[in-house]
Amino acid sequence: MEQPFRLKAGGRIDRTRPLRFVFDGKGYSGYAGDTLASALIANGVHLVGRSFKYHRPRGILSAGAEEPNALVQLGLEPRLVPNARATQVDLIHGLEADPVNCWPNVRRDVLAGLGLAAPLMPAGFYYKTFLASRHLWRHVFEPLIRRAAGWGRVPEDPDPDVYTHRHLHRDVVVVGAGPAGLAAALAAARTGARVALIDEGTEPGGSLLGQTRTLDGHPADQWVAEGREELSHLPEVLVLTRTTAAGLYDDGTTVVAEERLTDHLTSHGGHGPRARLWWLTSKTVILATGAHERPIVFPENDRPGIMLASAARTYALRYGALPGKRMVLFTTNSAAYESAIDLQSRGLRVEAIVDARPDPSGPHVDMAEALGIHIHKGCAVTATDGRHHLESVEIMLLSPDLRTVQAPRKLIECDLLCVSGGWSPVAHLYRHAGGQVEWNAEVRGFTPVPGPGLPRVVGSAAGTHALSQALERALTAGAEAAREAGFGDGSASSAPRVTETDALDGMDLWRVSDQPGDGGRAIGRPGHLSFVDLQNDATAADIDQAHREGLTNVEHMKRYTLTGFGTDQGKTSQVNGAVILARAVGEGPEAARLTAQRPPYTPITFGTLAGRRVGGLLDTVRETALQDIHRDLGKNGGAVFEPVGQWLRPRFYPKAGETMDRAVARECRAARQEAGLLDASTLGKIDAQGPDVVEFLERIYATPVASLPIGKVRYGLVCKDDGMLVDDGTLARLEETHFHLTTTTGNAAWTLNWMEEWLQTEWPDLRVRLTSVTEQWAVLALSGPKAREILAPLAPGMDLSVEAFPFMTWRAGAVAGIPARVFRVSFTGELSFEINVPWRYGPALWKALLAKGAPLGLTPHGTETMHVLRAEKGFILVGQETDGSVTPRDLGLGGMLKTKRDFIGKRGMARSDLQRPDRKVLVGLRTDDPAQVLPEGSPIVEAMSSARPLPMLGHVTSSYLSPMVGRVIALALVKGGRERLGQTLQVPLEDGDLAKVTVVEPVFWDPEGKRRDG
Amino acid sequence: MAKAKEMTPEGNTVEHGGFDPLAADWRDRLSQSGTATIQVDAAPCQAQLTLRGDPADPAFAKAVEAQTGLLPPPVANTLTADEHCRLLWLGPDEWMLLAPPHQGALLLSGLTVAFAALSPATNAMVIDTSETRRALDVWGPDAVQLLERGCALDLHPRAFPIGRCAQGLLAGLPVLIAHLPRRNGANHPCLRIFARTSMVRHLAWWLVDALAEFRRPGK
Repeated sequence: MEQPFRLKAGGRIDRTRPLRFVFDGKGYSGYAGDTLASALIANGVHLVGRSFKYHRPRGILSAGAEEPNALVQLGLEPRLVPNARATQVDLIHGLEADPVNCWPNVRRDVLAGLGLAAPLMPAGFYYKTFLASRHLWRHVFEPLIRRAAGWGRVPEDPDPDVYTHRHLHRDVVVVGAGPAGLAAALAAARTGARVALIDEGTEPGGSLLGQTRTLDGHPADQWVAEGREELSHLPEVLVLTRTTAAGLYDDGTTVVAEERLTDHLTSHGGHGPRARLWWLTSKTVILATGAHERPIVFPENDRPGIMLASAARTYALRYGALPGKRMVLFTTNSAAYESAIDLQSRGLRVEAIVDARPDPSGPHVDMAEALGIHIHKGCAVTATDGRHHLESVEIMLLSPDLRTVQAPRKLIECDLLCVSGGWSPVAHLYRHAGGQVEWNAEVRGFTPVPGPGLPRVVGSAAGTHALSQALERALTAGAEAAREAGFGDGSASSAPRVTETDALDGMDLWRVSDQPGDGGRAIGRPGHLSFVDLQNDATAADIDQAHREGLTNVEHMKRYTLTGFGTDQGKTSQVNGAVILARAVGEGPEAARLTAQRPPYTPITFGTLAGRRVGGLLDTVRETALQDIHRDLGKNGGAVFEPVGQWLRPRFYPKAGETMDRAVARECRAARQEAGLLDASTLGKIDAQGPDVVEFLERIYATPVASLPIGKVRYGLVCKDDGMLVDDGTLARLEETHFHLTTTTGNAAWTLNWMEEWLQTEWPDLRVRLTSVTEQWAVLALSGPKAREILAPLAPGMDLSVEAFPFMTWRAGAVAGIPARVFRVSFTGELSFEINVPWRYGPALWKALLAKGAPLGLTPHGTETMHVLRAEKGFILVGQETDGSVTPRDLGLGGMLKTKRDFIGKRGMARSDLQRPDRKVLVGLRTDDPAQVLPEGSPIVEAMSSARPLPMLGHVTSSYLSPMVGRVIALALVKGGRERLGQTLQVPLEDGDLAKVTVVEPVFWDPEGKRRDG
Repeated sequence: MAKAKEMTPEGNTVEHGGFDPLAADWRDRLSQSGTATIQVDAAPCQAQLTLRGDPADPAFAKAVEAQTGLLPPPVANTLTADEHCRLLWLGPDEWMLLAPPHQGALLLSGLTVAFAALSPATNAMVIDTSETRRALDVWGPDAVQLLERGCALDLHPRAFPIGRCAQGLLAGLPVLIAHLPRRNGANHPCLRIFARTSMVRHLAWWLVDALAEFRRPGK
C-alpha cells in the first residue's frame, strides 16, 4: 500500500499532485507540499541514517532546521548535495536521496557493530589513542577513520549552477514569518515603511500552519493567508520564503540570507540562478526566529521512532502523515500534552504519557485524563528497545531529587516516543549581533537579554510562549520599529483573540540517570548511551568525563566531546550539554554558559557565497589604454599577460613559435642594443600640491625633497614608522609647490592612502592636496641607445641633447603632436625617456613611436624583460627584494637617506636591531653553473651540514638568465653580505642538488653607468 | 574609436584618435544586453575637473560660481547643475565638475586663475581628471535592481532621488553614482556610474553578465 501512514484528509499537501522519489535505492511516493521527511514518514520509513561515530540507526527527530539525524545525500554529479536536512528538503518529482554514514545500505551497515565498542571510545579517545604515533596516525588510523565517519559526498566536478547576490536596504527587516514575525511585519508595513519579511520555510505561518487553533474565531491558516494577502498589496514590502537568515552582521544591521530559488523545482538545474544571497541592511531588525523543542537526555534516547513532540504533531497536522501507531509521550511540561491530544484525534493511540512532574495539572492534563490517557506521574523513560525502530520503552519512578530512578520498572510497547524537555529560544542571530542570553527560570530556556543597539526579539524567540501575548508584543514591536525609522506613530492594531495553549509550566529534567538510586539498580546496561548530541554521538557520560579531566569551561567541553559541532551546530544539544556540564560542576542551569554561536545558522553552499565572483569576474581586471594593442600584438604571435596587482600586464611578446626564454632574450637584446618600448601606464601617479607640499613630502619620504629644483626628478623612498621600505618611485617638481609623484604599480592605492591618512589624521594643519592621476597619464618607457634618435623627430620642439635635457629632469612639450610630460628617468640603465600623455592618447603615441622606431629596431617588451634589465643593473623591485622587513640600508640605499631632517621611519631605523652588522643585505650572486637559474626564495647556506635547523644566511630574491651578461645573474639578501663579497656559498635546490654561488656586487651591467646618457 | 582633430582637455588639437575603453564594440554589447526594463549604454565623454577648497570660505564658493555658474552643493552626496555643467559633492572639501568636452580647457584655466587669487588658507585647487574616470548610464524601471546585485548603497528612490550622488563599491570596484534627471537630452532619468578608466570594461562585463539574470523567463 502506498503511503500507509498518510491520513485520508488534512494537512497542507496537495493530494492531486503525487510525486515519485527514491530513498536508499527504493521508490516511494509523496505529495506536493511534502518535505522529504514528511513523505518518508507517510511511507512508514523512520530509519534514515546511521550515526557519525557508532553507526547507530537513526530516525527523524524534528520537523525543521534543528534536525541532527536525518541528513541525506541528494542528487547526482555534478549537482550532489551532501548532508541536506530531510526535514527541510522540498519533495520534488524524481528526487533521489540516500542516507549517509552507512554502507552498503542503512539497514545492513557493516560498521553497525561499532556501537558495541562505545565503552572503549569515550570522549578524547582520538586524541589519546591515535596521536601516540604520527606515523600510524597518518598511514593507518586517519584513512580508516575518515572512511568510517565521513558524512556526505561533495561533487567533484565544477558547479554548473549560477548564483546571484542582492543588496537591499529596508526600514524594518523581520526574520521569521511565524505568527509573531507575521504580526510584526504587518504592523511595520502598514505605516508605509520599507519592510522585508523572510522565512526559511516554504510559506509564511510557521507554527500556525495546519494547526487546530483559532484566531478571532477563524482557523489559524486563514489568519496567515489574510496576512500574506495584505502584505502582497503593500508596494514597499518584500516577503521571501525558502530564505534562511544565515547571519547578522555589521552591529546587527545587516541580515545575510540565502534564498533557494530552484531546488524545489528541479534537481537538474533550473532557469536562472539556483540561489541568491541577500544582504538586507535595515534600520531595525526584528527577530521572530521561534524556539526549538529540547530533547530529554535519557538512556537509549536515539532510536528511530523517537521524535520531538511538536514535530510529531507537525507531521500529523501540517503534512497529514502519522509518525506511528502507538505512542508514548515523555514530557516535563503541559504544553506537550497538546501534541498527544492532537495525535490521538488523528488516529494515533496514546499508550501513556510519562510526565516527570510528580503532580502535573492544567487544562490539557485534565483533557488528556478525560480522554482516558494514562498518565505516569513523576516518572521517566529509562531505556528503549527495538533494532531498527522503536518497539518498547521502559519507565521507572524518579527519585525526589531527580538524580536517580527507582524500581519498579515498567515496559510499554509503542512505535513512537514523543519527547519534550521544554523549549529553547532561537537566539543565534541575536548572538551574532553581540547580544547575550541568560537562563530564564520562567521560560526554562536561555532568553535574549535586551540591550541598546541590539535587534528586537519577539515571539517564542523572546520566551513569549503564549500566542496572544506573542502577537500583541510583535505588533507593538513592528509599529515601534517603523516609528523609529520615521513611519507611523508607533501605535499598532490590537491582537486577535486566540485559543490559548497551556503555559510553559514545566520542570527541569536535564538527564535521566543511568545510575542506581537508593534501593534501585543500575538500569544502564553496557552500551546504554544517553545522547546529548545526536549528530556527533556525544553522550552525557562524555560530558562527565570531560568534567573529570578538568574541562569545566563549556567551550573546552565542546571541543573535547564534540557536543554542539556539526552541520546542526548543536541546535538540539547545546542547552542540554551546557547544563549537564554546569550540574557536574555543582551548579544549576542559571550558571550554565552557552558556547558561541556563529554564522551560518544552517549551512550555505559555497556557490551562493561566491555569487558571480567566479572565473573572469573573480576580481577586477584593470587595463591600460593599450590593452587592445597588446592583445592584437598577441594575435601576431601571442602576447602573454601576467597579473600585477589587479592589472593585467604583458609579460612578453613572443613571435610565432618562440619560447618565453627566447622572446625575453630577444626583447632584452633589443632594449640594450637598439631600443625597447614598455607600457608603464600602470605606475601609480599622484599629483601633490599646496602651500605646504614640500614640508609634507619631506615628512613622508626618507629621501630629500626641498632641495629638488623645478624641472628636476629624484628617486624617492617611502618607509613605514618601523623603518622598513614599503614603496619607491620618483618625485618630479612641476612648480614651486606642485609635484608629480610616482609609486610602484602594486602599491599605488596603498601609498596614496598612507599619505592621506597622515595628512587627514596627523597633520591636518598642512595645506596639501593629493589627487590620484594614475589613469590621467598613459606612460610609455622608451629605453635604449637609440631612444633619442627615435624620439627626436616626434618631438621637434624639444631639445633632447644631454646638455638641454639631462638625466633626472623632465620637460613638457608635444610628442607626436600630443601634449606630453617627458621624464628622463631610467629603470634599465640605458638612455630612457618615460613619456606621459593623456590616457586616451596612449595608443596614438605607441603607434607613432613604433612607426618611427621599428625600422631602427625598436621592440616592445613586457614585464619579464623589464625585470631582467633592472636586475642586471641591481635596481630593486619593492615586493621582490623587499618583504616588509628590509630597510633602505639593507638594500645599499643608506646613502640616499636624510641625515638631519625627520621623516617617517627615521626613528624606526635607529633601533639597535636595525644597526646590527649581520643584517641581511643586498648582494649579487654568481652561480658556478652559468645556466643555473636559482628559484626565487631559495635559501642560502654556508655549507650543508647535519645541524638542524641548518643555519640560513639568507635567500635569493631574483634570478634570471641575462642574455647580455651571457650567464645567470641573481640578487640575494645575505647576512653580513658586504663582508662576504668573494665568498662561495651554497644554495640547496628542490631536487636535492646544491648550487655553488659566489657573492658579488649586485650590479652586472654597466657598473660605471656610462650608458644612461646614450 | 573617435577620429582625428579632437581637443585634449588642455585644449590642444591633436592629429590622433583618442582611445575610449567603451568604444563601439562594447557599446554594442551593452545595448544588446538590455532588457525590456533595463537599458545600459556608455555615457557621453565629458570634461572632469576635480575642485578642492574650503567651503567655509565665501570667496571660494563665489569664485566657483563666477567661473562655472554653479555653487558647490552644500549638502553631502548631492549635485548642482545647469544646462551645461554639473558639480558633484565628493567630500567635505572636494567636488567634481562635469562639463562639455570643449569647455574643459577654458574652465580649467579660469578656475586656476581665480583660485590663485584666493587666500592660501582656502588651499583651493583645480586639476584636470578627465581621463581618470569613464561613465556608464543605466536606466529603466529595474535599473536599481540591477545595481543592487553588486552594490551595498541604498539606491531606493526614497534614499537616492534625482540629484543625489554617492561613492561606494559596485561589482567590487570603486564607483561614483549620480542620479540624473535626463540622459543625453532624452527625457528619462538615469543612473550615471563613474568608474576608474582602467576598470570600466570590467564593470561593463559585470553589467552584461548581471543582465542575463533579468532576461531569463520568470524574472
